[in-house]
Amino acid sequence: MNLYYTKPLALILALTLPSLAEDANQMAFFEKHCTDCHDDETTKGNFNLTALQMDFTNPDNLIKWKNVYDRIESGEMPPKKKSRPPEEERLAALATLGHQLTDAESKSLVATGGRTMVRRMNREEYQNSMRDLLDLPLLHVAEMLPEDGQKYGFDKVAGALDISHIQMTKYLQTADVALRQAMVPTIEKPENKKWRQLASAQDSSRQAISSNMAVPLKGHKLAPGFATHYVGNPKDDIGNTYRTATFEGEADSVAALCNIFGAHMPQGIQIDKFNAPIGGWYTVKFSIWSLRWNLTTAEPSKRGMVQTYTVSGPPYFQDKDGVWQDTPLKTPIVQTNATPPWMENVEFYGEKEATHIVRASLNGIPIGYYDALSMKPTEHELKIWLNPGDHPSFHVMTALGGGATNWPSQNGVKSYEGPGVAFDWFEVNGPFNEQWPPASQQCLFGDKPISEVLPVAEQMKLLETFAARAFRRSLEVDEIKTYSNLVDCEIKRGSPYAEAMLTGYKAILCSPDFLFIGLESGIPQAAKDTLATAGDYALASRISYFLWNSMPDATLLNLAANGTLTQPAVLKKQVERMLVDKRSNNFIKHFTNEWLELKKIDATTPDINLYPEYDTWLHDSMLEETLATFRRMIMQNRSVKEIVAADSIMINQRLAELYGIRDVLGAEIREVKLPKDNPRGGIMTQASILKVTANGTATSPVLRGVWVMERVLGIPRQPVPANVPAIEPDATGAVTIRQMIEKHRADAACATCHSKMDPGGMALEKFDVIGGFRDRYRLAPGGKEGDTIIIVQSSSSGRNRVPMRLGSEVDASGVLDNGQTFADLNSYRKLLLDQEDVLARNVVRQLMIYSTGAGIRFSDRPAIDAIIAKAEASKYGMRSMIQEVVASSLFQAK
Amino acid sequence: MTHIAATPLARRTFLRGAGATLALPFLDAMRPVFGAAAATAAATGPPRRMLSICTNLGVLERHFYPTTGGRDYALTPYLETLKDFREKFTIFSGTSLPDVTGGHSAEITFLTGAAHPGTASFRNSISLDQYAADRIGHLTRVPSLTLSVAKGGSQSISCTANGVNLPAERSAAEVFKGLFMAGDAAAIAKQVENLRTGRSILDAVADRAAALQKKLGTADASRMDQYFTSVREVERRLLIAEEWEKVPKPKVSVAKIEDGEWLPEKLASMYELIHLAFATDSTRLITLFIKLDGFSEHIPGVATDAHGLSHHVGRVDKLEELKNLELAQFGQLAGLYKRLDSTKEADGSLLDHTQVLYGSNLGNGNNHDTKNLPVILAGGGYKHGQHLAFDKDNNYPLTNLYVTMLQRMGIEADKFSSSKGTMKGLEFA
Repeated sequence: MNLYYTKPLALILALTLPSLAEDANQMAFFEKHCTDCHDDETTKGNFNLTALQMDFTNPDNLIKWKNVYDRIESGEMPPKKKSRPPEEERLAALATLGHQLTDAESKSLVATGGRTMVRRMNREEYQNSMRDLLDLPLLHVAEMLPEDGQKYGFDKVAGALDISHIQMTKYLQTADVALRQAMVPTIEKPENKKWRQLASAQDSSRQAISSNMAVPLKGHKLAPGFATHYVGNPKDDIGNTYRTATFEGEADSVAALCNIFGAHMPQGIQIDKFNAPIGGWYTVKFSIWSLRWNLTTAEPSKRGMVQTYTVSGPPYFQDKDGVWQDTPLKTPIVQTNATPPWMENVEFYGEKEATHIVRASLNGIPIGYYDALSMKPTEHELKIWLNPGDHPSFHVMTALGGGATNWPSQNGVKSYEGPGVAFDWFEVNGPFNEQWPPASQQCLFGDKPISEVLPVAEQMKLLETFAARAFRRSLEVDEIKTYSNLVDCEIKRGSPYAEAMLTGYKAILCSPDFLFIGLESGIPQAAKDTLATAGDYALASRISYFLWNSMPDATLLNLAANGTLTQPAVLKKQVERMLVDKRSNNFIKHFTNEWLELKKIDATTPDINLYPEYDTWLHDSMLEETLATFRRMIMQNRSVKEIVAADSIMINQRLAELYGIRDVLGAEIREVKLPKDNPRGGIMTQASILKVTANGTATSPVLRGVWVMERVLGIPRQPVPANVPAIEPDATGAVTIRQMIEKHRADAACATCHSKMDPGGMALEKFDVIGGFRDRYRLAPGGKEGDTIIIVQSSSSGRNRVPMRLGSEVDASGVLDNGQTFADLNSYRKLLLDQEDVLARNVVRQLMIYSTGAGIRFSDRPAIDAIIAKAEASKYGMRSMIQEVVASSLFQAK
Repeated sequence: MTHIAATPLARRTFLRGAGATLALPFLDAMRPVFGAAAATAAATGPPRRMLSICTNLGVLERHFYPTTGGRDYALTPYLETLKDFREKFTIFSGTSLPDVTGGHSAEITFLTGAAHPGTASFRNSISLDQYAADRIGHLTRVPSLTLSVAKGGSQSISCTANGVNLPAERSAAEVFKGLFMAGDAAAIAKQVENLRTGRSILDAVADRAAALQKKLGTADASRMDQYFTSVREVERRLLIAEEWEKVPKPKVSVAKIEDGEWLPEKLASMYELIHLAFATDSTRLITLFIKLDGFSEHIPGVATDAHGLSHHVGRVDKLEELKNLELAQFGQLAGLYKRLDSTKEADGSLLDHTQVLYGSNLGNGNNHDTKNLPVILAGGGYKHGQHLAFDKDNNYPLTNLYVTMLQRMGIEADKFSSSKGTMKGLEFA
């Protein structure tokens, strides 16, 4: 027995920290109810309370004591099996410990001047600020900067935003790149011109035609002048022989018959004959329609192909008499007219004419998705910034991956039947310039050409205006001299005027006053024991980097300047205004990226053999769904409950296919009433979430469960104990993931955490890695014969029907750590919906960390509780919670 | 036989040339570069360098990989050409870049490891050499060299952090001029001016940060201190770069390099250039992309274009031609090893301080397979002489080797791209 242990706990503590050991009742409480199990002899749950010093200046200790507080408060400790302390004793012990923790934290405030620290912008904030400051809405500089760190789940927290010399070098470079993009090379205003050409005249169309990937059309027929022939010697050198096509005639349109054109033509159909004379805004118009190619003729694009289709499972199956059930078609699988004939799944939308989907992109970045209606040319328009050398690209998302073959024995597109999209013409108008020189240059050089040297007073004025906007406040007396002296100096050294001015602007963009958020109101003086207010200008920036993820606009800065921004009514009105402004999309996107971990969407790619139906349209659609849902929660002030359940969802055709919902045609996301018995509704069951919580091959209830625990319930995970092997998913079908987890949890040390972590993941287990619903697991190819489903897919691998083996049935039941059981997802949902305040508290905490860039301390809890209490009246509506966060003392303090 | 002035002499000349223009504070700023180079030459040895070569159509596995792993493998026809250096290289089998698919598209990801090139939504990421250049590039006149041997185009295997492919220099003669022939005074002056402007900017903002720091509370002041320190560090680096511009270029005994027209000549020229660049410490990071498409002329026993040969579809005659083509490439590689190894440096050779990575983005050119990439690493200070054989069905991440290579360069990195650790079984010498 340890000599120390023979002494009373109070005495041990007295030896280490006498001042805190004075509370004898507290010590007696610990000794009576805790140290039986948590001493150095028994050390249950690997926790030894007798070794934990009451030194709260040590951050690790502070966290441990907070855990002690939380466990006692929630009633988890002492455990139910042991004798319970009388309630007044328990509350007294909590109160004492609570005071000690609050006291310790308020002492540390003196050192920091507040709960937040000044911090540099993250790269998203930097890019958005540069866009607003320079009036360059499509400036791309974020990726020139190193990736940002993360703390408490967000890249907005001071402790995670370090500056290295690499970071600083990049700031110099990005400032230079951005400033030069703001300037125009010509003095004359470029003429706004209209350019229009047939799609079939583009080089990419010609190339696609020659490689059997597209056909030229005259009317609805193959255009005259088209011929196929083979290259090589099929008799002696079949390996180097293939079918190609030539086209010498005129065509009204070009129909693309496959999705991607392989590694040799990743650009798809491209507007390659148009060359932007100068960087600027252009409108691009194009006309498209969908069709079904049948050897030499374009026919109505009947029977839309779906990307997921099962033969033996829902939504369609063949009964034992071979009759198709639960499908609008008698024969959902048809043989095509192709040579050789091949089978195609064509049902889901019944005998209706299908809408096909075209994606427009620029340099690999999607611009939008557009509908191609059957046989009905439809004009679409998009507005985009084009630089010289930029050519928008178009891909058909709903065509098959393969299209016609280039086998010499086949006749190319003339022996092919399948879906396609015809492109009629492209029109480009622009560049559009509302003013000249463009606004971006005017904010640097005024309305005179760059070559015209302005009087010194006007130079100063330009620099001052720019600096005040960049620093998000009014300038101090003589503050501009740092920068104007630099310009002077450069001119004296013989630099050209424009270069000298740029040097001044670069210095402004590299200064701490621009790069650091939190300096706007000068240096706040922390009052003892209370939080200093952030100050008007600092508040303007805080609210702006919160709701726009960018710098404040003139309205906010004016309100800060005249001291009215802190008035509750004014502030409330500003929040409403900002949420309606389109810049709030920056918030919606960035906040969900971090909070819901959507930024991990590409961390893994679904295994092409297991999930051949996964494609880029689905990828982009699933992200859009979550953004649209969160936007709707804000705009319609919908309840926080919609994280868990909702009776309508925001989807498009691709998601409707994945979710098994009929009659949703087209690319646009719209509100759809959730059909009865459909398992969707609520953010938690959206494909995006199910994808980010899985890897490319298998789901793990543990990883999904941790996501639910942290992101929905707001319980942080405990660090993984050393020497515990992780659970490894196995797609061979030998053991189920549930069996593996149950084995793992049989160990009591593992069970403590896993009983909290796993339930959410168990409930979501009926969703696969791309968010599809499943009753049975898919198995890796190979292995024994078994039940098989057929997957239809259009993109990645060029195959269009993939047999998939099915494994064991999925079980979505489980037990909460408080012993409540659930049979399936819906009964788990009910358990979550009963804890509305828990869901709300989590969202408020996440919003608070995101907006203030600091973690939630123990002593901040009452302030958070007050926000929750105020938001209850709105049934925890999302917009109300945002309003209450902004109105809170915590948000407005340094 | 080496054509260059011995490195120590070059360095002395260089310092003498620089000395005249140096003011005192400058000497202090330069110390970590030149002072350190001189001092560490004695302490930790000469600079560490890295050359990465990617040949784009694969290497026939049957003539390349030994049948057994470990140290006692039997030489294969290709390795026979390198046999003089057997103890100075390691062969890797069963490795590939995780999630890199797309056949030929994978050319641009050989050194980046970015997933799924060739798809419509693909974005590339930083390449191994540029990652290193961001950290050590300032130590030499040229941060890195991006070269290619190709019939046309400027594609390279180097990418910026932004995923932008750096244009490759195809002319060894031009690069030679840039490195070793003095530029005109106006160009030098302009570059010096740009770098000086950068320093003035930083000087202004550093003053501001210093003033702020005095007024802020301790926690905020520590953030500002980090900013201030970074600014000073960049200033120092810009100063170094500025001085490089003024420093006379190293002298080499070769008057010029010819580009050559055929594959063997082009390779020989590039390898000669690479040797000179490393030996004069003009750079420590070079990539070479060998785009074989269209080459066939003047290679004994080869009549068909290289891309056509890679799709041999199992034909015996094509396979024989392909073997001859690849033997010619390995012959040139042996020449490079020899050049590097016969230049003495410190108590070893230049090869001992230069990692030479040679590999392909294709494991099998015939079917565009991007698994089981052929990889061989020579020199650089490892315990070589073995064949590290990994699982052919379940490949080991090649990006692990990239992490090891960074660490061998003295760069603190525990992750690169898709890596899951460092290369198992490869130890520093």
